[in-house]
Parts: sequence; structure tokens; C-alpha cells
Amino acid sequence: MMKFSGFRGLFSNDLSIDLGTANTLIYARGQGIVLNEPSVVAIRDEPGGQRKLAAVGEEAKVMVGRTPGNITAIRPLKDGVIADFNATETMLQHFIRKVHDSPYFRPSPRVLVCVPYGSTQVERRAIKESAAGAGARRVHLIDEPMAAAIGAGMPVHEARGCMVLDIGGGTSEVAVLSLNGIVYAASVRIGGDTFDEAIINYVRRNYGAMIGESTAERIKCEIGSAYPSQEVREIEFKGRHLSEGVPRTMIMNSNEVLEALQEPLAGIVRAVKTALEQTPPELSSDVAERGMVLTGGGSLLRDMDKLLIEETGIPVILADDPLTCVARGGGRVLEIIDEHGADIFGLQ
Amino acid sequence: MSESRQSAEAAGVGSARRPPGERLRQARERRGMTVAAVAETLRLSSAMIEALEQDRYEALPPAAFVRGYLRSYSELLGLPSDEVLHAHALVQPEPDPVTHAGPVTQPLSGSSRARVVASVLGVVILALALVIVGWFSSEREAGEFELQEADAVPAETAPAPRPDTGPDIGRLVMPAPSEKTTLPETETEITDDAATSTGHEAVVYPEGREPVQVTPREAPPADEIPAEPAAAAPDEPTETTTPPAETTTVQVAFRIREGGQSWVEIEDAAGERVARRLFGSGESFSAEAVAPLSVFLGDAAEVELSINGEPYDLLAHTRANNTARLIIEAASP
Repeated sequence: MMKFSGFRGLFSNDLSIDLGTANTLIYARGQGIVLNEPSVVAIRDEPGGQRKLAAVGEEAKVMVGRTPGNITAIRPLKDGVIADFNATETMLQHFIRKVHDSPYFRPSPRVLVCVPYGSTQVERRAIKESAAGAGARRVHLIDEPMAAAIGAGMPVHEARGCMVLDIGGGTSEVAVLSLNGIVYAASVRIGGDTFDEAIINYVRRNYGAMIGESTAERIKCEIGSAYPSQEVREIEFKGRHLSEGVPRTMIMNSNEVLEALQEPLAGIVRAVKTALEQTPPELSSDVAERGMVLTGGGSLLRDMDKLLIEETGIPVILADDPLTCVARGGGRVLEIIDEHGADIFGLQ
Repeated sequence: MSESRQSAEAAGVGSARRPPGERLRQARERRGMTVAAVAETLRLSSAMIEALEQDRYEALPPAAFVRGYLRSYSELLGLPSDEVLHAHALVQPEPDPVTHAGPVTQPLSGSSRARVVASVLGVVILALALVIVGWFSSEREAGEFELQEADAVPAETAPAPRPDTGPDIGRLVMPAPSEKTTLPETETEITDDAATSTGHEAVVYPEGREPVQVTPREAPPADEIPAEPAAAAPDEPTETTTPPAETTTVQVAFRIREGGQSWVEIEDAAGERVARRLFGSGESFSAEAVAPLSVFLGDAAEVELSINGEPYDLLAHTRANNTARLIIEAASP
């Protein structure tokens, strides 16, 4: 069986998977990013107690909050780790098949999965087994900050400090790297989802209305910002008024969103400051000179770099294509493994 | 105002080819900002801002950082960061491998590797198919050669055991015509050499009577040959006469035991069919035909055979699958 999976592996691409809370990205070696879909699975309850897959990814995401009783649209990952093992496995299986269009062979790729730095051994094992169950013939795990830094193009192999802040959907990871290793890293369970929840809570508190995750995300993406600016933008949205129980149209401006996001943003700033405090002085001076790199979808929040520049006093730059940094970095790691062996990053 | 706009446009038009430093410097000067002010805002050193404006990238950190600085700087100045980064990419097109921002293209990617493997597999499968076809055709030729050989084979080799001693049901039901035709050709020689043939005689009738020699079609191993074949010979005389060798007849009779059945094939010297059918329980059959007779018994245990009126023990000729093949010849006196 193993030999045959090795044979099927000849027809499979090496994959780097950023198994994120919000989105799953797959980088196929030699092809670039081949999949970027929401980490959502919709499951239909059949008569007789059977559960069947209704939709995965983009198709399933539009179902979130809009499903009838027999369909459950779930996000199988929470805070960067697996919350529903079976759903994660099904989703991965679907995605891996989707990126291999061979009708003759079930894909059996070598897979590198990026995991949050703070994840426990149990959580890591769950991810590993989930990927293996989805058909991977070999599974490597790498810490997300390392993959993010490599994906951002930082010279992590140098004997100089590189600092990266990856703001994902469920977690934010801050790390200082040098000589292909992590000198300091921390993971806080604050990310894009936390921003959405903060907006939902703000609207409920101040407008007395309920809005869904999708609406909150739209508000965040369109007018959300992390730092006050002279330009004030507005957005119109609809929500269910709590006391009247009927839908109402409301208008919210960017300053209100900034106010709503204060708490999660403060958590991220605190984590970055702690990292700077904990970094050895030599590496700290390298970071102060060259700056910190922002990656992940959360870094696309307007003026996130300005906030961090003001709060930390060090240069902060945004990586190219920050959404795909982790997956691209994982892909680069697969190439480096082939050139230098898996020991170079101490991969599991 | 119009002059500054013209210069800005000129900078924009030329930006596709020129390094971005000059454009940044002009934009900064238009906004009335000093290098120190920009450095303070971006938290970079003045030396780095000057290096960016003079396109001295060797004095700056690796390309990933430079691109970040250029993005921050151009946004601060209100310039389109995409254009500035594009201009920079033309100046510093190939960053080190780690800093490659776009999708990495490997010379031998997974899919191209798959193509190589698929083509190699295709060639191997084609070669295998050719080998199999070649093997089958050679087998067929060998089979034809064997048949031709069997046609031309001399008598002493004709009754030699075939390598395949297992039951051949196909041949049993539908004997190959070529095999049938070989019998008449070989029979006379078999008869001629009967006296000199060794180990093939199962039964030799005593002199004074029409001697009959029974030869298994496929000779059993030497140790299975009865030590005293003549002991099985019956004492009763046979009614057969002594015609010329070609016309010597043998009287063969059998009876199927109660509850049993057996497929029986008997052919005479000319290959003429004496009997060829399934005989049922208790059925008996008797015939006289020109020797040698080729006899095949499907279920030998169910058959009581008698030759020239004498019961004959088939045990020596019964094979593991319970069939028996024997040739009944008229032995020379």
C-alpha cells in the first residue's frame, strides 16, 4: 500500500497547505498558489442519521448563517487548530483532489502543513493525521511564523534578526528568527475573526442590532482601519433590530470601526511589544534597524503598519501579497528540504 | 503649480524605465518634506532614505525589505506604490531566491515530472506489450513446430510421455485432428518396434495365443511399471486369429460398474472411431478392431475392461486424475 502511494506520488504535486481558520491556501510546487478558499464545510443530515458532504470552500461559505435545519455550515478550524477532526479531513481531501486534475490516480502528495506556533502536541498530531487521512503520503509540519517569514522573502538563514507578525484569521503569530530557527515566538488567539466579533458586539451595543459574520467582515474590509486618519469613510448595512425584531438599515463610519477594533488591536500590539522585550539585544537592534514584516490577511487592515510604527517605534513594512505568504513560504521550505534535507528547519 | 504637475507627469511617464529613487525624491520635495521628516515618520534612518532616493540598493537590507520601504515611502508621498515597485523590479529584477515574491517556477515541477514518468511508463508498457505479443506468437510457432514434429516423429519417440501429464479435458472431448492422423502413421512402426521397446509393455500374452501387447499411451515412470507384467496375463486363450500384422484384430470389451459412468474413446489402427461417448451405469460394450487400439477411459475406476475376453487390470494405467490411456497392440509372436 505504501509503495503504491509512492507510485501515485509520482503523479502528485508537492503541496504546501496554509490550513487557516478563515481560509485554506494551497501552494503547489512549480505552479504557485492553486487554491484559496474559505475553510468552511457544509454537511447535510440525511434521513437515517447519515451525514453527507453538501459543499466545501467558497460554495459552503455562502451558506454560513443561511442554512436550513438539515444543513450545517461549519468552520472546522478554530483559533488555528482543528475543532472538528472529521470535517477538516473531508475538507482537506476535497481540496487536495481539487488541485490534482488527474482522473486516473488518486493523489498522494507530499504535504507540508503550517501550524500555529503555540499549538500543542495533540493539536499538531490532529493536523498531521487529518492530512494523512486526506491522502497525503508524507506530512511535514512547520511553524507558521517561519513559513510566513520565508514567504515574505526574509533572509531567515542569516545570522541577523528578522521579525515577522502574521495576523491570520484565528491567531496572530509574532516571531523573531535567525539562522533558520525561531529565537522567540508567541501566538495570541486574536485575528481577523476576532475583529469581526468585535464589530458584531459594537453594533449590538451601540446600534441595538444583530448582524452576521459576513456583514461584519464586509464592514471590516471596506472601512476598517487600525489607525485614525483624516479621511472618514462610511458604510451602509442592514441588521436585525433587537428590540423591534425587524431589519433596519444603518450607517457606520470608519472611526466607529476603529473604536470597535481597539481591544483586539491592543492585544496584538501587546504581543509585539512583549516579543521585542524578550528578544536578545543583538537581534533586537537588527530588528530596529531593518524593521518588522507584516503578513497574513489581518495585515491588510488599513493602516495596520502605521499603528505598529507608532506603538513600537520600529519600521514596519507590509510583505508582498501578505495573504499567501505562509503558503508560499511553505512551498519554498519544500524546495529547501529537497536541497538540504528536512533537518535544516527541524521539521516534524 | 502647472510646472510641478508637468514634472510629476514627466516623472510618471518615465517611471516605467527609470529607477524609482528620482521619482520619490521629486515627490518628497513637492510635498516640502525633508529626508529627516520622512525618516522620522517611517522610523528608518536618514541614510536609508537617501539610499532609496539614489537607488543605492547595495547599502540597504535584502530586496524584501527594500520593497517594503518603497511601498511605505510611496504611500506616505501619495504615489501609486504598484508603479514604484514595478520600477524597482526593473532595476533589481532578480532578488535572491528566498525573496522571490511571485510564484516560484521550478525547472522540473511536479506536473512535468509526472509527464516524464508517464512517458517512461508508456514506453515500458509498450515494450511489455510487444514482449507479450512476441512471446505468444513464438509459443504458437513452437506449438505448430511440435505438431509437425509429432507428425514426423519416429515410432520410438511417439509414445514418449508429454511433458504435461495432467488431464487434458479439451483433447478428451475434442481430440485434435492432427493427433488422430498421427496414429495410423506411427502404428506400424510401433508394432515393428514392439519387440525391442522396453518398459512399455504392460501386458504380454503367452505364446500359442494371439499375443497382445498393452502400452500406456503416456509411459508411467519406470518404478510404476509392474515388475511382472505377464503375471496379470490371463490364462484363457483368445479367440483371435493370426492375421498379417496390419490386420491383427483385438477383441476389447468393457462394462461400466453399477452407479458409475465413464467417457470412453476407442480408435482402431486406421484412426477409425470404435467408440466415443459417455457410457452409463451397467452399460457394456464389446468390439473387435484392428490393433493397435487407442483407448481412453474417462473414469477408469468405473470400467471393467477385458481384452480378448480376459479381464484386464487398469490400475497400472490409471493416473492421479482417474483417467487411463493405453494402446492395445498385437504383440509379435
